[in-house]
Amino acid sequence: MRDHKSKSSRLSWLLVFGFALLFIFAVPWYWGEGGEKPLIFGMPLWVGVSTFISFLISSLTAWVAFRTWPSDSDESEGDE
Amino acid sequence: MSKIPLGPIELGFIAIYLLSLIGIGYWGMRARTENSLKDFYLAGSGVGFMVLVLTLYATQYSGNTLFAFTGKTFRIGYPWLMSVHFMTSIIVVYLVFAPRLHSLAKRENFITPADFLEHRFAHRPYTVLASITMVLAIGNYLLAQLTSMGLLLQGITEFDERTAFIAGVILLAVIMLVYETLGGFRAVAWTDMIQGGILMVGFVVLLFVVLDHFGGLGNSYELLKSSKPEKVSVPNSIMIRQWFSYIFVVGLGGALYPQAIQRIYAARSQKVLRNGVATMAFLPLTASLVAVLVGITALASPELSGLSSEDSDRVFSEVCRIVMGKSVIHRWLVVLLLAAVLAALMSTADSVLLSVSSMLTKDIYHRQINTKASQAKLTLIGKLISLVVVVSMASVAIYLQSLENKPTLVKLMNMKFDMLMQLAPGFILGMYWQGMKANAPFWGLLSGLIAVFVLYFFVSSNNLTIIEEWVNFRYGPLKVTQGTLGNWGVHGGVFGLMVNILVVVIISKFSRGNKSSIGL
Repeated sequence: MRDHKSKSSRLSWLLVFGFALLFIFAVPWYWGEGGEKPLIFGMPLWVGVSTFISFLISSLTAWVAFRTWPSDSDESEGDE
Repeated sequence: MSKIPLGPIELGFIAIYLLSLIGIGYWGMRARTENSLKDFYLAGSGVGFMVLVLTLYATQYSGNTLFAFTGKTFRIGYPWLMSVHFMTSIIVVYLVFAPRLHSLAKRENFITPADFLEHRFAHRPYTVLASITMVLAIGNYLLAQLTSMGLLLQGITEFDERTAFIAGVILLAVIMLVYETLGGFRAVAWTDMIQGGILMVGFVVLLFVVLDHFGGLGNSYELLKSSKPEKVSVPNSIMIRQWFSYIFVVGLGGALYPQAIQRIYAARSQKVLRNGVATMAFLPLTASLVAVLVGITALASPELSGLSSEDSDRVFSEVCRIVMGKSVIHRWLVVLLLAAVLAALMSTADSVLLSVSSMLTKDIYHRQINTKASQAKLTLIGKLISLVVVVSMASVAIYLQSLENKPTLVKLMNMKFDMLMQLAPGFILGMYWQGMKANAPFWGLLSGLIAVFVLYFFVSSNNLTIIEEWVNFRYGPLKVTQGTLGNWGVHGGVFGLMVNILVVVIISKFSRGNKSSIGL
């Protein structure tokens, strides 16, 4: 039981860290001059990278939802 | 909004669409299972996956996404890509508290967001202050949607401008009130389903029409690179700070929208809610991103070079006006787009109205004034409150429109997220931190709100001292309404939340109050 709890807590912190990292790199603070070429689908490079990271955040969100969301049966067991 | 006068057949198409909403309201009334607050405000046992996703989508993406997001991109260029990230961050915040809130809501029969706070803290002043904060924050939002409805009708008809605006506000408010009074949440969610569908199609049509007429993104980039390079360059440091600030403020504030929390309550099961949240995570890429790409294309277009930054809220309607002249097909695509705008405005306004009405009925009337009222009486009171709210908001919208110095969409909503995010300690921290004292979030919220108001009114981008600002605010033109600390690019709400959390922690750690963590 304790093992399960510490595992789930470790996963939570890992996810917080993962989301924070993705959001930090979604914001284009690390581009110097020349963050614009080559164009990706007609958009500057920094826009393409930032949009791709946004897609990664969405994918991680969906994955976490499916991986960690409690089921309805978990709840009824908890209530008993 | 620019003039895009429609012919009688096109206006007839929009009229049929509006009348069908009343039909859905009647259908919602027929589906009613009991005359209770739970049935009226949460559709009884709840809604399924498709309805949940489309009602969340239609509620979250308002007329603001089409008008203000394209307009903002027109003003600042590609850096408004931050809107994609901050809309995604709302869904990430849901991961933290939605599953637990949903199971509590089902177990304890919550109806309003403040029901959770009352259950968790049993501190009446906090419940009431939180409810009033939410009503004020989203009441402003309702006003903005009603104003846009008036402007839309002004744009698509040939009537005198003032008459068209008043008729637009009244006509659309009445239609919304009728279907909402008939069917409650069921009618709102079902009409949202149609409106969300039209809005999704509208975004696809918009992108297709704009790229087809104005040329591709590569072409826009080359034009902007030579004429307005700052609009496509990597953003400067203030903009970067603003980007981080927006992700934080909208992520927390948007997740705590009362109408969104009530949709968490209304999901039929955890599985429905989980699938809904997972789907919603991708929708900013289909809505906000499209608005940004349309704004960039319009910014590069020589046809729109006459538009100034002040006129940027007209970008969307100017694009429609230019495109509809190309062919009959383009004209009907624009009619579909205008129906999508109408859908975006009404679906957000009806959800906000229902949420405001539920909070005033349950949190204020039932909890504070008449604790013994029957469910049937409370439902009737809720409908009457909706009527009073719509009449007063429509009157304010019409009055404000008659003023010389008209408030813009963004001005109206500047403080909404700054205020709503001050509820995060109660909803999110309170959900997990058992040691949080019952009175701590009340004093935290009060301190946070005071900090936000002080920063909002007394610190601005024009480098004046607090005293100078105050004199300017009292006697000069009202230039001080900055939601962002312009000098530094960070929203006042962030500083408010720091004060808020500090107060909550100090009171919880050092006072001897009651913990009151019932049932968590």
